[in-house]
Amino acid sequence: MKWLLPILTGALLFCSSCQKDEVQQPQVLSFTLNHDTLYYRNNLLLSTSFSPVESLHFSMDISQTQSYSYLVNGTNTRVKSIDEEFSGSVATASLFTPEMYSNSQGVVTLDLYSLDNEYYSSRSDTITLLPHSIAIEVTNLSISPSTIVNTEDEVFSIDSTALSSLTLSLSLLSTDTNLLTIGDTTVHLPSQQQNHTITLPITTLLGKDNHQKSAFLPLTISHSSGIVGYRDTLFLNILSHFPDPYEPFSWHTSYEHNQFHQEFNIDPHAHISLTEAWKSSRGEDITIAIIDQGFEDTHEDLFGNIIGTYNAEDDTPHVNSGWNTNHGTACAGLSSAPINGKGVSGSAPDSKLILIAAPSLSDASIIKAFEYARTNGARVISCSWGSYNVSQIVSDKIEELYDEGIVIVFACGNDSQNLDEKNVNDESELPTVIGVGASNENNGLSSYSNYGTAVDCIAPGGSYSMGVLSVDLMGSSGSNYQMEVVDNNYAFHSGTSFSAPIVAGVAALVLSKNPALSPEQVRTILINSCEKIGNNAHYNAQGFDVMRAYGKINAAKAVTLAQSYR
Amino acid sequence: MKKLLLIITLLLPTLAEEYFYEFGEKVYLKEESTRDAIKDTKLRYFQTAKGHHMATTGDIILKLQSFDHLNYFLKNYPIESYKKLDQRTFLLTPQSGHNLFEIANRIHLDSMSIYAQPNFIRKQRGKR
Repeated sequence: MKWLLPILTGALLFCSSCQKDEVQQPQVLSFTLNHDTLYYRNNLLLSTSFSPVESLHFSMDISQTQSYSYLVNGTNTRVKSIDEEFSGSVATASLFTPEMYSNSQGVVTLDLYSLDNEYYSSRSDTITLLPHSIAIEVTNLSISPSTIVNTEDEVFSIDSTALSSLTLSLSLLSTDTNLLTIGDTTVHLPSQQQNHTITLPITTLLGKDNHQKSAFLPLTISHSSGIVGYRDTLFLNILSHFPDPYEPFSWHTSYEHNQFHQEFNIDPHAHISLTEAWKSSRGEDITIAIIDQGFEDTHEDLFGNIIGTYNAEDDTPHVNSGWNTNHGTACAGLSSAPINGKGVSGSAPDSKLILIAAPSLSDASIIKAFEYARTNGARVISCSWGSYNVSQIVSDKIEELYDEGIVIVFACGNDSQNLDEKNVNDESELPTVIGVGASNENNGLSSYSNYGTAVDCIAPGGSYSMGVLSVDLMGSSGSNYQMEVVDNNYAFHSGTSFSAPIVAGVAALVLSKNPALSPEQVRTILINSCEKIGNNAHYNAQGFDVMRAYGKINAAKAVTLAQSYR
Repeated sequence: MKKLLLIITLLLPTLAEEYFYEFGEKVYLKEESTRDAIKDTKLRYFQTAKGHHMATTGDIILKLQSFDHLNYFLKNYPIESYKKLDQRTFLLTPQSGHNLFEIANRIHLDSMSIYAQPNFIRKQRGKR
């Protein structure tokens, strides 16, 4: 009999809603949305608003053909019932408004979104003609220091107005169907000015745990008299930066004037301006493949960005062999640990990760690893290993990927050697590869770093006494180098092995900003944005120093260069 | 004297030089004795003239102009099995009893291949 209980409860609820509707005698407004181009693989988000009433929203599966009935409480206490039907490629929705509000003036808008944030279809109808047409052009939104709103897409441009002031509200329709008001303001419009730039302070930020990066923002514009003037939806890319808890110890990310940096004499310029770079790029839509001997793919500060794992030797997804996995895990963290309120942030925290294990690093497994990265959409591949004796087959494979537009980064090794004098043929020296040496917390060359004319740049890899902070094997296994400031899931690591994924992440920032760039263009951008560090350096006319290559990478400058690079 | 001859006979295979083709050149290898720490029945350890250490896995990597040519090699060389590494690269396992380097070099010199060489595990430079 237990199974009857939910049915009876549902029936009772349904009856109570019927009664409420009968009492209020709703006015019915119908819309039909034709959306021939919809992809049905995703759940859709249907947003219905009746301005100036707050938006109502609920999710549904477009692939289902059935009727829905909802009672939704608007935030300004008006009660609405929405009924919609979906059949084939046509969606119909009806908005019922209680009779007491039937004379309200406003615009009803019905928007359909996919849950992957791609906008599909919209329909708006004016219920009552507006007494004023309102002019507004949003060209800039000022924001709090911790939130960056990218407004590259200009959306609003309306005819002139006689109004002297407007009330604006900006709300976020999040993918979990919560509507969050993130800002509102009253602005005074100069008369006789057709285009006006409005600064909208965002007063209510996304919650600290909400690291949503992009969203559709329904912008409601209303006159102080309560008349709704205009409503539209713009797509904004929100780059909220709430530092991960161990960022104060990540000296390679930015300089923090704190006890840690002072105690260890961290040079204020030892970082690579990552925090600054993240204001405009975080590696969105770029996949980085890390090839190493193994990974802890379940790490709390990695798995959120992992989209694939592959073992090139047994053709399985199992990359955690338990042997020598700390090295690859730390490398993955330095390129792509997400900003998620845990641990640390990689240099491209919004990039996606493919972890590829090649435990033996045999020539055959390396070929398979590169091939897997290629066929699974990697734009950047980071390799923190090398043989001084690269094979023809691997060299050719790297060239093949390079020709297909994939950026490949290699660490250049930790033997304090000039690779030119050593007469070796290292992977990092290939012309199709970005070879990376290490810089330290004193903003100089790390004493262990290899160097030579084929190395392209240096990046933080730390010193014997101070490594760069990344993820480590969870728990007590892995490195013990926590320096009493981070827990056992994280550790400080030193070596060119850790410089390479930092550079790979910066390459992802660059590609995210300008996806059309070729590997050679990415390399040019990286070396042209390098800082010439070192007191005794001898940079030549081309800006090259044999020990420090083209200098230390600078993420912010690289991203800026990428924006304008043609 | 007999004992000495026996010792020389036993040592000969270990001291014999093998070679393979890489970047258009013959790379000569001296076989090293198996290190206890990394004993593996399939692996054979070598050192190049430049001092690089590498081990063969018993397989051959073959790069072809076209996938269509694979059957030719399977028919004309003592190949037991193969695995695909990418569209035009294959890992061949020779039939037992055949010399890995000899087969790899013959295939390499065959006009139907782009190149072939034993599959090596190359000693990695030090990680930190």
